[in-house]
Amino acid sequence: MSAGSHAPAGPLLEVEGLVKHFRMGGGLFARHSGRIQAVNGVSFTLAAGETLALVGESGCGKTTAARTIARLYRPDAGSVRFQGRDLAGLRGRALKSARRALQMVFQDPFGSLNPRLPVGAIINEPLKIHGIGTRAERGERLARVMTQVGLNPRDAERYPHQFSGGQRQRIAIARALVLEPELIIADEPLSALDVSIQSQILNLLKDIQEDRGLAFLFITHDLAVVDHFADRVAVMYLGHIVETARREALFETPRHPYTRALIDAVPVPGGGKRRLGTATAGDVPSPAAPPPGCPFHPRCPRASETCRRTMPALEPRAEDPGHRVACHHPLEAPTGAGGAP
Amino acid sequence: MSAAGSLSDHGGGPVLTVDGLEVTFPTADGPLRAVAGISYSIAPARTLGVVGESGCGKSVTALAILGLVPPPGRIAGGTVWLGDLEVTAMDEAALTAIRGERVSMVFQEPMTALNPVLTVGEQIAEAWALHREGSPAEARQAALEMIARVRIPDPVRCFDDYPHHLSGGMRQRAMIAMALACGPELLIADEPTTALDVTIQAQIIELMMEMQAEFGMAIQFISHNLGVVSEIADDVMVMYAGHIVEIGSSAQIFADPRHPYTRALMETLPRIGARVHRLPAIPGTVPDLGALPAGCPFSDRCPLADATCRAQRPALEDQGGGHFAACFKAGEPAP
Amino acid sequence: MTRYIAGRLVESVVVLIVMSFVIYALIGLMPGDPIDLMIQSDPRLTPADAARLRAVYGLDKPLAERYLAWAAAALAGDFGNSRLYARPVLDVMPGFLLNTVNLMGLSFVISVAIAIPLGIYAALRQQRAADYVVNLACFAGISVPIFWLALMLIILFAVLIPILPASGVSSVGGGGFLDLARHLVLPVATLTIFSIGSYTRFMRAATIEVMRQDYIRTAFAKGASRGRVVMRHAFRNALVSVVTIVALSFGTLFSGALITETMFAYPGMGKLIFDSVMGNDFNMALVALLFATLVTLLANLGADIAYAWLDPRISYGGGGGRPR
Repeated sequence: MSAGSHAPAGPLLEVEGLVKHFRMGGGLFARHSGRIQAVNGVSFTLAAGETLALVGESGCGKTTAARTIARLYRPDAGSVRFQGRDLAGLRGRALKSARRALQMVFQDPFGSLNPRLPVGAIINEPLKIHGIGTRAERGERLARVMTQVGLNPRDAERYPHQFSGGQRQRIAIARALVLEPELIIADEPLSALDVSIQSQILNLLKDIQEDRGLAFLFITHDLAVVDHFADRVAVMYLGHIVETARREALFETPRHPYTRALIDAVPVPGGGKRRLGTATAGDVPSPAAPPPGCPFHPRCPRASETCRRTMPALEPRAEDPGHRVACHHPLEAPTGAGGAP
Repeated sequence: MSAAGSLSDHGGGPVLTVDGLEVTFPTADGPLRAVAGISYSIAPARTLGVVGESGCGKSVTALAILGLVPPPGRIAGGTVWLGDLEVTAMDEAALTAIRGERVSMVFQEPMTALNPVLTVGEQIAEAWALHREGSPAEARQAALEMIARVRIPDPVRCFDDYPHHLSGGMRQRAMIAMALACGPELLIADEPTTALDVTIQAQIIELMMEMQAEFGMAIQFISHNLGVVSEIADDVMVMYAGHIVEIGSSAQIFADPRHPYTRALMETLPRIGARVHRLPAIPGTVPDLGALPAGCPFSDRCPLADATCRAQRPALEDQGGGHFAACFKAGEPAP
Repeated sequence: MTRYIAGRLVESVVVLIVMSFVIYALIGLMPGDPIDLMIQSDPRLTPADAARLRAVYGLDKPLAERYLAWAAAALAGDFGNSRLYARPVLDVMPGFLLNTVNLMGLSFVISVAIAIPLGIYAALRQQRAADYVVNLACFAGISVPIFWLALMLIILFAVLIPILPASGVSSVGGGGFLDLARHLVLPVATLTIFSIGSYTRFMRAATIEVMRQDYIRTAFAKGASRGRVVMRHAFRNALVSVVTIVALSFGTLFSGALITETMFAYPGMGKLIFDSVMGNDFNMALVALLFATLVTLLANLGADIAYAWLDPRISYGGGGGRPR
């Protein structure tokens, strides 16, 4: 199974009822301060060595959820159990030691690296922060991890601006790997890269996962990448998970209308011209003013009165308990192979 | 569509003809050829998809057509014809007259492409008023009609909104309204959906197709996303390092790509339902325009490249039926 | 927005109260007191006299007590007498204030009126000859020491070519509008040359930054002429950055231009503050400095309101800017 992990007592990561809201406006004399309800009760589990993709469009809360799980934000409610410990309640040294096993890779390969440090120092910094190894040992680990991500260890003295976008993302991945974590949270790691580089990085992530038995929480809006890389998928909309399933099940038989809409919207190279009238109408509502009931109902072709009033719960399917949908009128008909016209 | 400057059989001739266009940027080591002598044309009411990665010159080509290449870049050679007007020979005053009127452009980032201190309606009305005689009331009316035509709900309210009040999709619709206000013959869209969510992207693609059916303009649609191009384009042109490497109808390019770069691009993309274990990757990085190989610009990354490829630059060769590829090994299977 | 302004005004009052104590304490901590100065000027005062005088003036009490006494009187509207001028403070200040308003106000208006167009002009001709000339002139204006500039102007226009008066607010026996105006020319010129240099550079930088934005490219793509793009699209956006600088310097207007006033023997607020601090004139110094503080606070509030007016993305209502 996974190299170097202790026998897990339960899932590696267990998120339960996670809530994160942000205050807007406010101040001493403001009339009202709104709240951006970014994450509204998100629950899922992630086993060791597994890849869970958190998918959704802008405003769905996936990045906020990822950052809250990584404790870059403090959750307003809910729990984040990582390796059995609830991160939400941790502080100080306990949090720091929990962080060793949980690392993050960000979207922007230009912004996430300190331009004033040589890349060797950037990659090594986590080791220094946690006081691991002597100087010589750190140097060795640096060389090893750089080689593993496809960089030349001799380039350790160079600065980030001397590397290309794809190489910078490799540096960020190396930095995440150097502590030998159990879980990597990757927030849109490919979006800022050119097409021909994306597949290189995607292959790298797969290699690393196979080699080290890492679990990934992979945040993305790109469904094609999800179908290639993820074991399980959770679809988010306006701070809620609307569907979660194994990858094959999601793409072959999506049950939530939004999931269906997402899959239909993905353009297929060589798929011919778009058929008019198939695009989902409307805009994503603002997370500061979510609609009542099911958040998707204003745009859903299947919406009914129930949908307007009550928020559906995430229910497992009878034929496949691992496949859960939050919908009053889930799609029942067996659909064709996902995505093909 | 056709390559190398020959006219198509559509009545009235092509809307756009680009012949040997060359755009350079001066650098300390000599001029950098962002566009290295390309030729193509677009027929009326057709959509040409221009595909390529960063640095391939697709955006610079579009700016050159409008005469908006940012200085110190300049058009160093070739000609651009809009119908029968020679755009490259025009002075600034003449260019100002055709921009927005005969050829319009829609950009990638609708948030930064709209002026934040002016209302949406004012900006659309301005696009109309710059080229049409009329009172401010008539301009406002024209703007309201355009806003309705791009399917923005509640046009009167939208007119008085500022750009930051609108969502990304709405802003892009407003940009399209602005571009089409005077009914141009050619609409150039530079990555118009890249910054949008995928469901909104689908809406905008459909909108552009509907607008083309209503207005009858030709579209040059630039994108790095092969899927999006596939959904909207009649013809496709693939660019690499300032060169056209392949050009043909959409069906030809996607069903039978002849250039190794085009093939590699298609294979390297993850696709829903593909179930490959490992994606074939294109080795190396996006080319540095200052350090291109002497022969074919793709030869340092191409699995088929040999000595000829590295030494000589291939020209666009007819692959049959209006499908052209610039490769000595066109059509050869990968090793 | 009204709530926002009300809130800011309340904050300003709080700041003023705090500042009044800080200033009082700072002046009080300075060595020596008015009695020392009296002793210097009148050697016949004995130490016993000095002690008695201190008791009369309350100068033997601790600082906090003295401050509270002052504050109590101030709240009733009595800001005390100026020791130097032997008249109530509120009688003395307005005269100086008016002179400063004339001098600084005029200089401010002229500098802004010249700097803004000049900055735009230089920005549009970046890297060309005109830009270099303007930049050079600006640097010269900023770098030249004010006292030297004042001296040169006096020598040039009051001595060598005697067309303007060298000092003062008005001539003896004069005081009419034309007379006042002639006396203002050189001091205003001195201050303006410095300010133009500074404001022009800011306007130029702001304009260059704005011209690089995407919406400028869109405006060109619509077929707008260069002039229209600059005036209708670029100008208002560039102004937002410049408003900050202008507002900050507006605050210094009322503390006055001490050096200029000294060089031209022009009785303005700067000179007033300086003299009263050096002369241990507590009451005068306190009120003058508080006035300067008040003007700075109001200028900053004005700038914030101007932002909201110029840039619709900024709103103090707590709800603006939300996409719908």
